[in-house]
Amino acid sequence: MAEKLHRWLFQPFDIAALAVYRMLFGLLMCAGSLRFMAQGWVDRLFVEPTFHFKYWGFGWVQVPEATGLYLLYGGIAISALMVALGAFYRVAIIAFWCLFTYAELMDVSTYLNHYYLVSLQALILCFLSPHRAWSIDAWRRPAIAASTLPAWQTYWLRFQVGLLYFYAGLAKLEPDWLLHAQPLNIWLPAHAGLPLLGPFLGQPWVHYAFSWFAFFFDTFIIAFMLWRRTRLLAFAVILVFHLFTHLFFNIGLFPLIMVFGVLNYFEPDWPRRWLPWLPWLRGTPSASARPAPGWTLRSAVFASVVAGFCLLQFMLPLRHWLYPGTVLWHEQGMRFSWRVMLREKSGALDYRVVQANGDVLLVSPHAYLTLQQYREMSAQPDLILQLAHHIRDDYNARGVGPVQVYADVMVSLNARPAARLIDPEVDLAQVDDGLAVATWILPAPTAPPPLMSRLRLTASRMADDRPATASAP
Amino acid sequence: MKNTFGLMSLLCLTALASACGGGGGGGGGDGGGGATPTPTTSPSPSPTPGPVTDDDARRRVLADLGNDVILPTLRQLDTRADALSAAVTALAAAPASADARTTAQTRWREAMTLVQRAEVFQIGPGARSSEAGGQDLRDLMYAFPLLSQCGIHQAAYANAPVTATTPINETGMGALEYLLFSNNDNPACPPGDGVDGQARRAAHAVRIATRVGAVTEQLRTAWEPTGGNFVQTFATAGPGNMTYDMPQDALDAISVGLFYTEKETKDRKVANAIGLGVTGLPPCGTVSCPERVESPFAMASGQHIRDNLQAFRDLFTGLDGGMGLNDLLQGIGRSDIASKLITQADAALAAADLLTDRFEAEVAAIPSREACINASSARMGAPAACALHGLIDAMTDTYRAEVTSALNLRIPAAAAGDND
Repeated sequence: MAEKLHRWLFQPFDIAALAVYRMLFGLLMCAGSLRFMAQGWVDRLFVEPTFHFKYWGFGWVQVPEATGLYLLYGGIAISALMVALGAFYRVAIIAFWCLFTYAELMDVSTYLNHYYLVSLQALILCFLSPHRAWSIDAWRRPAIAASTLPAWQTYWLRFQVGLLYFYAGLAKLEPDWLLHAQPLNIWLPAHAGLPLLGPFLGQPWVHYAFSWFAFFFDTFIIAFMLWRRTRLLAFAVILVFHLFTHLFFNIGLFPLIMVFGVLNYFEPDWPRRWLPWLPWLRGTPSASARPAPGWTLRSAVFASVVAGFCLLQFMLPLRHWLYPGTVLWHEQGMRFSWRVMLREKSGALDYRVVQANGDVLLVSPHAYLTLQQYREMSAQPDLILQLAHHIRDDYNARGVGPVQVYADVMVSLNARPAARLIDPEVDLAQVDDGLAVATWILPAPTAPPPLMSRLRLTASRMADDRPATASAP
Repeated sequence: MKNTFGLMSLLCLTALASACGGGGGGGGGDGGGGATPTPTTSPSPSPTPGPVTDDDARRRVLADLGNDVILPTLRQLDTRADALSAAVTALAAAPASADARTTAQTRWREAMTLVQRAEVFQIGPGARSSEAGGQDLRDLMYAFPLLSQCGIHQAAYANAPVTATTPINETGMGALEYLLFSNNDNPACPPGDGVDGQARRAAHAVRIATRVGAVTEQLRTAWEPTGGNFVQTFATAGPGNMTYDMPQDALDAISVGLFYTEKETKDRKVANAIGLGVTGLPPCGTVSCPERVESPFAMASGQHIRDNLQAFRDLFTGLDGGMGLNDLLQGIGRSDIASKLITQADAALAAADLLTDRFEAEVAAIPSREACINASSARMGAPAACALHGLIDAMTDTYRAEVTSALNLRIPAAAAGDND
């Protein structure tokens, strides 16, 4: 059994697919980092805020000054380009992973699932060897050149991408998505002006169709990709799906990241077969690849570590089952679990600070946050708690403490009437941030979300048939 | 293979079909909606226009808001700015005339009412340049809370011209308020060396009023059909529009404008003044902070707040029988939210009505923080300024949490980053 597993994991795969993936990944990340800087997002997300939300356990991550931030993102771009070129690959991909992950850990309010995916993919790439072909390293040091790689390298990348799709599908297996077509019922009508599709995007039945299709797509598309006979068509569906997500949502590089990741489900020699006109992709891998020896202590330990990593990745998205209530409301277990584009949540928040002398102040989040941060945090309980602690520390430092901090926050989930998210009687200054069940978060509204009908202005309101533009005075 | 191909073809077709739809659904549809009423075969001589749907409906609302709410405000503002300029010129000709000063002050109040409406209409040319169509005109007209009394003072004594490069805290309606309503030189600023301060100040007011008039004219012209015709740009948002790719983008611009009443009206103008709110300013050290009212010279802070709230309501409901955001909510079956917000806005307006000429006095008379927080929480009772805060808070909370969700409207934030 062990030998069979060994043979399966170490069978030689053409390096072509992983080498091309390395190039695509590196170029995309390089372009993404340059775009991030060019759009001014470094300033808006990290320089302008005076307060940054920390990940639990990563309070030590500090946000550098502006120069340091641009060096950080410049380093990400350069290391990504080096990965693409296969120049000093191992150093480059480790540097990329460290820098990119550090950047992502700087402020929770900037969390995105696809950034998390990039970080995981980069971590995996640290242990792979896609630079052994079509790279500066292979040109510079012919001794490392190889035309095949052990199969586990491909499997590992496939696993990570497949897991995302699967859990993104599983996350949709809940009433708001399937029974009430939310939040697509909120999001899609705004795109009614799109050519061809637009006129249908305001119609609720289309929102249901999209919701159910997305559920089936995410849950099962990898199964179709694994099956050789359906692979090509499944890939076509993936392209269409991600084209739509690109059109409908502001999700940046996510569609490309996913499409590039899915390419690894094709036969490892797909670049040679699909792109035969590229001279450097011609030919077939050398048949002289040495058969891997059987299990060694080193390979067994490494395989165990990889298996542990995969098990952790498999378990992490399930952790929300440890918390009573719906994760879309309390958000305990929301991050790192591939709950992608799953809810529309808006919150209005004020803090009440009770000073030691009994005086009460209403503290607006605006006092500490940028508009961007406020928008992101106002419906996320752990971030509301973090800011409460910061306010507590700030006021205690002013000598008016010990203060009590209460949050008055009304949140609308998927267009439901707004409800209180946090118990207004709980002094958040005394609440510890951690992984325990947060009893200070109030239960989610039990009513289902409303289904908005197609936007239709009634005849009575249109009866005056007013002119389209004003006349000059 | 053939079966597999068929299966996957079906999958693809489902994807496309679910996106493309089949038309005719949605119940009683008009075939996809259109600005032109659906032709009818009814022999009725005056057929009822058919319903307007989707982006056509959004454009109708945009057209109504542009034509009925925004442009009339800007026209009135321009007219009143001219009247203000004339009155200030008359004052400069007779700086010691009490009548001339009173007239100038009245014209300032009349113009300021429109400026306060325009504060909420920071849309298109009235918005910051970081927003679609923005021309950064707002601060040139009124830069609250920025005001440099000494800067104005020095500029007046130096006969300094007022141009596009004049610091925004030394020009605009705030500077005019200081010059027209504060009759004496500011003792904290350098003395005028015996120069006739009243005449210099009035002369400088003329320069500022002229500049304000130029800005209001620029803003109005940008919206006028005979000028920049932004009212048409607004009403035709969508494919081919150079400013708004989608009508939703223009609605988002309205939404961002409406948030003025949250951050500026509620937090800065009311909460800061009543001593409850903390928005980054150091504590004022007293129960309330009368020195932080918006209009300390003209004592018009309450009127300004009321004007902001009225502008919010008008943009939400439309005017003169035209449509507003409430119609969009009704059009998707969410009349509940529309009614709730209108009720809350009316309650806030009613409370503001009682404070238009005595907000400053109410703020100064707040007896304790406890009384204030209680009135704010109860949204009623005394102190009235604190109750007003609670009422505005309820209104803006509903807008932020519920209206923006239902209509998928934008919440202000620098457009930074992606989503997923």
